[in-house]
Amino acid sequence: MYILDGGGCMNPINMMLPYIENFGCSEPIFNLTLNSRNDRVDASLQETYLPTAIEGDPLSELVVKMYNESFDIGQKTFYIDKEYIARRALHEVLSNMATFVESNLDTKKPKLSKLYKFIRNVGYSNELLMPTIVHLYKYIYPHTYNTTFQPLNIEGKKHTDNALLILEALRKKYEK
Amino acid sequence: MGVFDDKRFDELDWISQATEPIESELNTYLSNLPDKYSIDFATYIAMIGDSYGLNISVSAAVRFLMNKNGINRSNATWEQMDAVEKCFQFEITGNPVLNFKESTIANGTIDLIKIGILDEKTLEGLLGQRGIQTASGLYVSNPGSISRLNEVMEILGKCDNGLRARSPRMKRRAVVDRLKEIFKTNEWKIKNADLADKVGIWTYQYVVNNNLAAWSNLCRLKVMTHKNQCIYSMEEVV
Repeated sequence: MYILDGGGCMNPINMMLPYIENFGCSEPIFNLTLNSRNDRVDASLQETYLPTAIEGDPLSELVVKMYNESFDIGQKTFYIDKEYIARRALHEVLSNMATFVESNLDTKKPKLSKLYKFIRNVGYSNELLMPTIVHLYKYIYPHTYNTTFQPLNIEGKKHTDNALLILEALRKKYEK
Repeated sequence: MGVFDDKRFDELDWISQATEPIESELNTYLSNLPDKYSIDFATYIAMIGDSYGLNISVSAAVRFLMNKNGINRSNATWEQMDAVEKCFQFEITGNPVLNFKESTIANGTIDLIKIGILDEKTLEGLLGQRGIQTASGLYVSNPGSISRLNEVMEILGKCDNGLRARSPRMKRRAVVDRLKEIFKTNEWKIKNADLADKVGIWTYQYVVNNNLAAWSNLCRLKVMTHKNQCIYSMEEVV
C-alpha cells in the first residue's frame, strides 16, 4: 500500500477555487438574425469564451468541463459563479470515484458493496474525506481510462489496487 | 318596433351597407399600431421583458407596442391576438449586432413592419370565439340552471340532442356545439365582433347567474335574426 501526501481537513471548495480564479467570461456582443418565418429575431453570441485546462491536470480539466457562464441583463455582462463550478467539479469527482470503485472491485455486484455505498454517501462538502478523495482522484487519473476508470495496464492496476485499499481504510475508519 | 332596430346599420354609408364588412376592435388595434417601427437597443431590451433568452418574437414586439400605445387588449382571446400578430413581421437590414457594452444595435437595423390587414375571412373565423370560450365554462348546479339551459337551447335552435339529454354535461356540450355551428357559417349574420361574442356571454350569464337582462338580450337578438339582414348592433338591456 502506497502512502499519499496531502489530504487532511480543509474546505473542499477551496481546493478547487485556485483552478477557477482566473476564469473569464464572454463579451456581451450578439449577432442578430431572423428565423425563416421572419417572426423571431435570434441573438447568438459573437465570440464564446472557453477556459483552457492545464494539460495533464485532471482537476483543471474537470473545472473547465464544468465551466458555465450566465448573463445578467440588468448588469449587461456575463458572470460566473465560481463556487457553483467548484461544487459541480466536486460532484463529478465523487461520481467518477464511484465509477472507479464499481469498475475495479472484484465482486459480482459491486454496487451492493459497502465501499460503493460509502463513496455514494460522501457529501461534496465533507471536509474530512473530500480532500483525500480529491487527491486519490488525481492519483488514479493518469493510470486509468477516463470513462470507466479501469486500469490502463498492469502497472496501472497496482495503482488502482492501492487506491481501493486506501478507500477501504477510509471506510473502515469513518463509516458510521 | 324600436327595440329591434339596428341603429349602427342605419348609420353605415351605402358602400358599407352593400359590402357588409365585419366590425371588430381588432381593426382598431391594427390601425393604432404603426406601419413600421424601428427597434433600437432600449426597445429591444424592453421587448425581451421577463423572458429567459435574448430572442424576441413578433408576439412580444406587438404586445410591447400595444402597451406603449395604451391599447387595452385584456378582452382579446389568444386567437384574436394571434390574428393581429400575423399581420406583422421583422425586417433586418445589414448585419445588426446587439452590443451590451455600448448599449447599441450597430452595423444594421431591425424593424417591425405591418405586412397585411385582417381580412374578412380571418375576422369571420374569429366571430363569437370569446363568447364560446365563456359558454364552455358553463356549470349547472341546480334544477333551475338546467331548465334555463333548456330554454337557451330552445332559443338557439337545432339542439334536439341536448334537449333530450338528461346529463347536464351533455346539455352544456350541445349548447357549445350549437354556438360553434352558428358562428362557423355566421348563420345569424352578426357583423359586429363584440355583439357576436355576447351571444355566448349572455348564455353563460343567464344559465349560471339567472341574469334576466342577458336573457332578454339573447331573445331580442334571436328575433332580429328573423329579418334575415346583417346585424351590427342591438339595443341592450343592462
